[in-house]
Amino acid sequence: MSDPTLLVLASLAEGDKHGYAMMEDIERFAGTRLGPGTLYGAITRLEERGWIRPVPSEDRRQPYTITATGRKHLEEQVGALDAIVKTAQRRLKHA
Amino acid sequence: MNPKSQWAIRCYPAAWRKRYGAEFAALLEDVGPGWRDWWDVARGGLKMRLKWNFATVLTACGLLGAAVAGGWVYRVPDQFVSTAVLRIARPEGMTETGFAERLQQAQTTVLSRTSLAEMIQRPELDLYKSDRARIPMEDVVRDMRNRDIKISPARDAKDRNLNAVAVSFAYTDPKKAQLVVQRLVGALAEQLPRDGAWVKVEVLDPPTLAGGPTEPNRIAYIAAGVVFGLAFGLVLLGARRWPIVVTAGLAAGLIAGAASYLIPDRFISTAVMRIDPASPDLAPSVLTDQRLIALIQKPSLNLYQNDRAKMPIADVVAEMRRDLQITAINSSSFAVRFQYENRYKAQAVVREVLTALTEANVMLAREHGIGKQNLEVVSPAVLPEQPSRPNRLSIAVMGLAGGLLLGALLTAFRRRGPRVLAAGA
Repeated sequence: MSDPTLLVLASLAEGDKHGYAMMEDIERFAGTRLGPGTLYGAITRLEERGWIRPVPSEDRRQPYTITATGRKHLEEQVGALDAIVKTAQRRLKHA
Repeated sequence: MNPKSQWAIRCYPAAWRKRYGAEFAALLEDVGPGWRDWWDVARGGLKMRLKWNFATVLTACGLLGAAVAGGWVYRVPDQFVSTAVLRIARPEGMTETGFAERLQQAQTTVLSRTSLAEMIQRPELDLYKSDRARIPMEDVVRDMRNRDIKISPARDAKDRNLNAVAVSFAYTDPKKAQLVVQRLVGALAEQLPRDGAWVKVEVLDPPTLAGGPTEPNRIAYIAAGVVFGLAFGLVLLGARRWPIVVTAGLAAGLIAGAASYLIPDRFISTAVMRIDPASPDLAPSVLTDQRLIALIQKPSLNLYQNDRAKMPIADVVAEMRRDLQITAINSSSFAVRFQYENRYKAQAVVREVLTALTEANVMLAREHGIGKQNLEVVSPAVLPEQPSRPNRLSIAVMGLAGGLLLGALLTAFRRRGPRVLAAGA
């Protein structure tokens, strides 16, 4: 899974995070380091689609939270990926 | 915000900076970017700025086309046109057709290879110096005759017996353009016999010293660049939306272009001769079966070797008749034209035919009691540089068009396919 939007959604599924926290979290669980441009490109698209929204904050670092539609979209994507992964694993076992 | 971050954020559109600028700058301060991060920021900004929608792609391609055309057109040297107008009186009793033929004869002589080559090499003119270093003299003469010189007859509205002829020449040096027109006018006047009241030649407008350049028409070229750019943009958009169509078109164009190299080249050699008066029996007496067979089998020529191995000699002769043509330009000028796969042999055959015509003319002139010299080779057999066939560009373009059509049909079929299956399911 290397689509930056899915990685951001997966990171926010755990809880609200600002940009730098997302970068570190994604690097930890996916082994992929998103560049600042790529991360904010994904954040911009996700906010436009209504899948994440900013959380009010006093800090210059802006935290984001995943919305209900964002969570639903992530579930659908993960479900599709899960089916592919399970099928591939099963076939590899029987091969 | 540090200056580096400020510059990096400037890559992004203003609306985006307003919404995300502060938090993005905070992220950059946290990250402590290396060169890879700066590159990522720049790329992200560029992507944000260039929303690849229909209008952006077309605008960008149109501007690119204009820039390329503009850059190219400013490298093309200016062209100046000098023009002179001659008025030539048609003598009493001469038909319009006869007069037009006489003018045509004079024009053929003035624009002959010998006449133009001499003019090109005159020290005071020294025309097309760089072209002469690159391409054969034959091509330089051909370009001068077909591209740069214009002799256009125009009837005088007031007097039907007066013909106005405009002579113009386009060249990069305005003074040389004027000199050439002076010489062309002089040569044309010399060719029209003025003995007694036969023809009266009067220079109405002397050769002008060209003013501003007429070519290249930069605005037209840049406009053409914009049009080509827009067309390219449409292809790009098409490639994104209908990749099969564009891929099939390009693949078919490439295949057709490559396949055209399997078709042997055909070269055309041409010569022009004037025979005045000419006997109508002249051409048929030269193109007899025996003479053509002799040419085909001549050891130094050895024409149609493969065909001769496959078909009877009569069929080979018929094929040669298709390739060899003697056509009348007017009542006294003839063009001898032969096309063949070997350019040296094409030229040699035309030379042989010219020799045969000359010999036959001597015989016929003797029979008809013509004592004076009545034959002149206006333009000798040209050694063709470029093949006349196959036209590889047109083959490739046809392949491209065919491929685009095939791709369009495939796309339509693919779109239709699942719907039909779904309807049946």
